[in-house]
Amino acid sequence: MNNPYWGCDVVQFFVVLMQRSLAVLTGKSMSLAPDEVQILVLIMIAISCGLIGTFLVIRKMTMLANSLSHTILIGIVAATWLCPPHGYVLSLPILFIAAMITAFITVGVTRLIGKATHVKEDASIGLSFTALFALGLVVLMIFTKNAHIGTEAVMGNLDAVHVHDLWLSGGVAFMNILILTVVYPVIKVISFDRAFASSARLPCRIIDALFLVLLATTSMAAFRAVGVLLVLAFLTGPILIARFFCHRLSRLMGLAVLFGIVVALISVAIARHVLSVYQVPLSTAGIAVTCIGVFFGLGLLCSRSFDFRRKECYPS
Amino acid sequence: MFDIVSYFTDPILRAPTIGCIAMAVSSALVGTLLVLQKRSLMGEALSHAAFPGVVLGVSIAAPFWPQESEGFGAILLLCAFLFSLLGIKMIDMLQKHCKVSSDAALCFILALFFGIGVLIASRLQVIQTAWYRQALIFLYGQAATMMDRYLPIYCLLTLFTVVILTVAYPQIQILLFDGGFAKRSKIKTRSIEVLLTLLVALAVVIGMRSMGAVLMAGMLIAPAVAARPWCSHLHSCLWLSSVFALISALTGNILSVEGTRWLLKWYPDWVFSLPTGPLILLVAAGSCFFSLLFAPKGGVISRLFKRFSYRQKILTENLLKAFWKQGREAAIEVKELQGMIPFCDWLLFRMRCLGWVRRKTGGRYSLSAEGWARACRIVRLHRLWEVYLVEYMSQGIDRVHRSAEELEHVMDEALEQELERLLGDLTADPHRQPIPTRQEGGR
Amino acid sequence: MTVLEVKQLTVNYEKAPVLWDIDFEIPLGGHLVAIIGPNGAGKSTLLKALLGIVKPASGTVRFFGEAFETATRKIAYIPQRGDIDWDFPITAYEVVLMGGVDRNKWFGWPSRANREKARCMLQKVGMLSYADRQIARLSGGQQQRLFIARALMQEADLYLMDEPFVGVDAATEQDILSIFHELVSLGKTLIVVHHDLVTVERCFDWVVVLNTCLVAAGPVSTIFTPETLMRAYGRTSSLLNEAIRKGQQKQAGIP
Repeated sequence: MNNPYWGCDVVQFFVVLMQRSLAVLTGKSMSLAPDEVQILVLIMIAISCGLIGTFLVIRKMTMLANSLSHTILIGIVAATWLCPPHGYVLSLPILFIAAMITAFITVGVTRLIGKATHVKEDASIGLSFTALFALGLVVLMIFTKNAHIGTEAVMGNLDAVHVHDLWLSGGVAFMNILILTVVYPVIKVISFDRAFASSARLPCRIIDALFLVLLATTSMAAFRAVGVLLVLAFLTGPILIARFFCHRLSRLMGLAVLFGIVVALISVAIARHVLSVYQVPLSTAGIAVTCIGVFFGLGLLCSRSFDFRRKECYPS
Repeated sequence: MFDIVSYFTDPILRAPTIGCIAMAVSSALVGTLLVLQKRSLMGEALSHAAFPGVVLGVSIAAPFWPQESEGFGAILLLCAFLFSLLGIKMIDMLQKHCKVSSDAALCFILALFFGIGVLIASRLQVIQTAWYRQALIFLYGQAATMMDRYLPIYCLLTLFTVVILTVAYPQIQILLFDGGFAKRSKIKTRSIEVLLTLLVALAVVIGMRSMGAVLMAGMLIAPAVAARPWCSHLHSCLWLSSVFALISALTGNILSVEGTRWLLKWYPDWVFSLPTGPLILLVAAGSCFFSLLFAPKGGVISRLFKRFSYRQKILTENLLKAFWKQGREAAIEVKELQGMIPFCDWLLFRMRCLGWVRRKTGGRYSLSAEGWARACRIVRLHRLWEVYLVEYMSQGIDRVHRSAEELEHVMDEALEQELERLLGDLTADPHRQPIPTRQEGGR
Repeated sequence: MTVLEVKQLTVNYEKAPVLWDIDFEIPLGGHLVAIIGPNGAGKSTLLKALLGIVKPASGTVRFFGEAFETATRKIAYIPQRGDIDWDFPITAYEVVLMGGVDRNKWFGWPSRANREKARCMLQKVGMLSYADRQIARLSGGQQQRLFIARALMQEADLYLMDEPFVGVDAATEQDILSIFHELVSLGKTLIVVHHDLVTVERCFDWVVVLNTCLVAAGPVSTIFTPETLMRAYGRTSSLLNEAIRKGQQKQAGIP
């Protein structure tokens, strides 16, 4: 096997990783091992999700993200069927367009039901995404003649990621960092006090649309690695863990990204360990989500015994 | 054409049909309560939270029971139910102790549990692919392979749900409407809430076989949303949503079977049958669409119609006022009226049919006795409003005419009596014009 | 030219108190204006309609002779404390800094001058020592001071405030009033939805009395009389409200 991580357990994994990182830093060039590609892809996903997820949780839009992730599944399958990829993965522009179309259709239908009728917001979210998903499922099953569409996109398959996925998720992470950094003050104001923001004529609608597009693109870019539903764990988990430790928006975002990166490293290491030591191949995405859950439990225990936020809440 | 009775008698078709109907009824009942409590997305979280239960259940039961046995099914349902309950408990804990907002709690638990399920399923995929496929059935649902021997379980659980809801109905009604009042009264709110939680978990678990984890949430919401515009009582909501759910389940099954037959005719190499779960949901969503558009009380179409009739009423009343200004015996030419009020010809035609105007020689119209009475009433209301606005609300005399123009059309008996009570019996409005009396207004 | 000119404003927003045919003006020159009226008279609705947060059914509003969209730089708004999400992860300093967000300048990143100004404003309202504290841990009076500091950051000519004195301690009330008087002496106009009739004559020089319709508007010395108060508080506008609601429902087609 050319893979330097073959047969490593957890400790050996990190040792090899550090050796190779040092070698790269000192100038020696080498190609990326499959495990390293997985780590990097997960890190990129963790960065994107940590940034966007913070705003999702604060603006209480997580169930909208849930509904988007379901319809985006249909969007991905439709895009793959309509424009079959020439390489391993859909090209970024097609992905982007498919993400935007599905996002706007989902949100459009949800808002239409909410405004034109007396259906409450949560019911309209639940109704629109399940109906759209069912419609997409039936149509695509008929046209692609495949009964199991999308199961891979639901579960994800990190072992199948390729360097092209790295470009994709890296590009999306870069886009997230760039856009959210640039509009950070404005989006903070809009999320905190919408009345003030609209009375100060800030571009509320444009920022909302931009945020939606970022969310859709992030979900789409992650589907190959972790699957569309597990992206939700990366979107909501790290920020909820970070909330145990601090209460400032910038620090929350940073901590959420940090926790996501740690989970990425650990989950690939554990997957390799379990494969090497017990010869059991497990889904790395499943391990990652379980790690997020474990970290959440640890964070909860820590916060019970020690109040980390005291300094922020009562600065001397 | 198809034979609908065969869906209940044919050995292959009856289990899916009856199983789906049982599932649909229980999810409609429970879903109505959820939707009214504004907790519609709880079903979404629970269906995903039950998935690891299914996978674990398959891992535990498959070595000991054959896959088609009742024991296998029972273990599966039990594990899914337990995980569902665990999910509810954790969502509750997150909201109460960690101060997480409700939507973030639902989303996190949904994703976390589903991830754990994916983890276990990946193990299963390698050691026993057949078991893995069995677990995957519960992702999108597969009603077509349901068997007769499972039916008693499903029907019994549905019956259990119906009985519980019937017995506890009065307390549930109070709890739903006014939780605060329920807590202060003798109702055991805590037990009822626990009971409702159990019923939600049960409905989700019953439904997962046919609808799948992903679409279950829709089946909890759609029948309730479809029934709501038609009903004004809780029990009629529950009944009607069950009926809608039953029709959706039956139609979904029929579409699945007949649709597959039709596809096989056109594409002889067609491999699989159309999935029942999504089709049931599509029919349910279609019934929502129909209800939201056409229901007489709140439907979009009926609202448009009512808006149109109100506008027509306003124009008619303005026309009556125009007649009144010319005097009791005046006969007015159509051309004069056309200048004042739009759609004059249609309005005059309608008023003739109602007997409010008479057509005279030379293309002129005049009011009948009925028409005169109505015109007097409108003018009376207009002038009473003017008095009210000036005397009571201190508006300027020059401004009240415009306001009264709008308010005069909104009148029912109660408002009119209240207005008269406040102002007493008046003869002149702020512009010193006479106010027609009550008798002239035909009351 | 007037600071604010409202003509025939009617607001018919579902689930909010109704306003009917409101017509008044506030002249130039610094004024401290109180909007008073019984509960449900539509005082908060009036502020929201002026700012475009709620869409009026009819009528026009002019600020300094212009529409709201063009005059927005000259206007600052302080909402009711109950409308804010106090669990948001933000410090006092950051809230005040928000007041300087200008959409035209580089997506709102605060300049050094803005940061200095924010600290100045915090100092002015006596909150500099709380600059790094989370807003959830501030008292009612401190929260109100914070929002006034944010409004001061905007350097507006017209300030609109929704019940700033509710739930604040006496010391904070005094401080806030002295800031108000200072602003008025500089020629600014402050329009305040006020709930306490007792303090109107002492603190304000102009008053707008609402009860679904406009009862009176003008200087406190002439308008604030027992007769006016009787007309506003002694009569209910419930009949008018009900009629307007019914009309609104019929126009929307709701049975």
